[in-house]
Amino acid sequence: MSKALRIFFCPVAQILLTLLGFGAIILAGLILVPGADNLFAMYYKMFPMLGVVIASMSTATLRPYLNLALSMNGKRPHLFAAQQTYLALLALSAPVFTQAFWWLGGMLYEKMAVPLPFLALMAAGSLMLGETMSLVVGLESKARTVVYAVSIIIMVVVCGGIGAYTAIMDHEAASWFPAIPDVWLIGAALALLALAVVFAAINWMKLRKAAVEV
Amino acid sequence: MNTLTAKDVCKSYGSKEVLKHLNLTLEPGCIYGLIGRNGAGKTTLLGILTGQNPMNSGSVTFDGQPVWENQSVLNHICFSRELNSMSILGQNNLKVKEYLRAASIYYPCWDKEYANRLTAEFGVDQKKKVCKLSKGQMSMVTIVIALASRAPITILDEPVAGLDVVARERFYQLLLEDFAQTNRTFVVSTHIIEEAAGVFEKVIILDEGAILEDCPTEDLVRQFHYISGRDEEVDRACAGLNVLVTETMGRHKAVTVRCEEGDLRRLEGFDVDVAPLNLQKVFVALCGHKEGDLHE
Amino acid sequence: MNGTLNDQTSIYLQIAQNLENDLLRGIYLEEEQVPSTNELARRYNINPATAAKGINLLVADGILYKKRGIGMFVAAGACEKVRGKRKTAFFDSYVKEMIKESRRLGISPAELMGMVAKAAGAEQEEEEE
Repeated sequence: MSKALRIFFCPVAQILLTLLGFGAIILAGLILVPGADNLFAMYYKMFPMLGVVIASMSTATLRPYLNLALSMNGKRPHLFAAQQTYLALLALSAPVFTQAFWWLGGMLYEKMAVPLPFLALMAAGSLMLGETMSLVVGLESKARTVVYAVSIIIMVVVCGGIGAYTAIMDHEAASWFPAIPDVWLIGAALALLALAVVFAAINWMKLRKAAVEV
Repeated sequence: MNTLTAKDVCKSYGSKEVLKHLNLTLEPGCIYGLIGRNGAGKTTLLGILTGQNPMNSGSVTFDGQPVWENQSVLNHICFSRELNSMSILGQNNLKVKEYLRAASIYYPCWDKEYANRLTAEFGVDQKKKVCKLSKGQMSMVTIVIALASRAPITILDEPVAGLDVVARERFYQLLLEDFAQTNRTFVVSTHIIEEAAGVFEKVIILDEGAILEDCPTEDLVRQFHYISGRDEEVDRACAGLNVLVTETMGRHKAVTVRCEEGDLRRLEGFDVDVAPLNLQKVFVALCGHKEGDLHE
Repeated sequence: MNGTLNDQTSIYLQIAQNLENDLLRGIYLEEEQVPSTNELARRYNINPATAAKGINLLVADGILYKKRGIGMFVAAGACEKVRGKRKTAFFDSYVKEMIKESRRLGISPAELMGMVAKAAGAEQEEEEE
């Protein structure tokens, strides 16, 4: 199991560093380019959406490492478990980064925060997208199209929702929450989680008997 | 000890049977050459032997233990495939050093210094991406991984494809040097037969999913003879012999026969030339000359 | 350094023959060590098992012997043995072939003997000069 975890370490580290890099650039821009309506301010508010997208879409880069490990006698269950571990880690990184980022940003610019259900939605959305990307790279074109279509629709809804929410938010917390009941947010998060689990299961079924690709 | 055995292995891709009831035993401490035409099933067979491809039926065991997903067995095996400049995401953006790092994680006997020495000798920049390597350099990486793995059973799939003749000679040298030191089992699948024939102690010929021959190179080659002369004379001389290939040009006839050396004595009375055949020609005699031959 | 091997006879036979040639040329003297299996394999770029087969052939013929832990050595009287072997083989490989070829060319036995005498005579004259 440790072998499988080590194999994916580099690409995962790269993704996390990219997230950090983006965050650093946005914060640097905020400090160095003052002005309430500038580009960096917009990115500052939209960082959650960016974070989800970066963290999720980049999980496709894990697949070549999986194939490489398989070609070197990697055990399929271990590789699957390691991949899932990292997908979960990356999914959690989006909300964690966002909160840390806004906490830092709050000292330099303006405070922003989202409630826990929203963070859950972010994490679930990121996981679902991550599972999608991991699944599609191993599929044939017709199946790929179907999975892509499902995911894109969901992604638009989730990202659109997050984007709209954070763009509207000017102050921390409270006034807008009654507009989107927590129950809805948590329900949506669970639905995304369920879809992620389905994709993960399909992924495993394919991997179990997979031939190593050249 | 260290014996890899395949029993009754069958593999089909859809309705197409690729391997048919295949039986094979790899003796320890031997260099095998695996030869066969394109599409004979070499890579499929090697993938199945090394637990990287599932088979439809049959068994592959290492000292009695099943190979599939068995870490303790897989630790003894290295299957070094041809590198591809394309990958599942488009271009293969993995770097050589990432391949080597993965190898160091997965091969318990990985020899890092050896790998670095070899990449230096071959002039392969470890920081380069695979898609930016030349064909020759990709072959060299395959070779580095195979040799530095120090695995008791090391299998190389087309390691010399893309190498020029000087590099190929160097490869055979390295292979023999390593073999002299470690005495591990090597299986080398190749299309470049004759120059490697001396290196292979045993040869396995795969044809249309079945093993045609699996024996010492020497013993196989000795059974084949090229008999030529005037057509009637050749016919009389070869009556009752197993004739594989016939070539005629006017009154000149040449045949390839397969028989024991003892049977050759009866040819002495006839005015025919008898010559031996090398491994490459034996292979062509066995596997060539069929209908629709050049289709793959 | 790559010794040249052809594909006319088995490789191990050629290894043995080359070693015998070296013996006759004085490259290895009696009681001297000859190259090991691995060294031969390296020189000819062949499998050590094949090189070993060639060496074993010479051991069986009494031309080489093994000193445990050290290597292969040229036996006493090896040169004589090699010459004896070659003489016997001479009849099969050269003389019989010569007869076959002469028959093919329609040269009578008497003519052939004449040719042989002539060639031998010419060689002797050259040597005397």
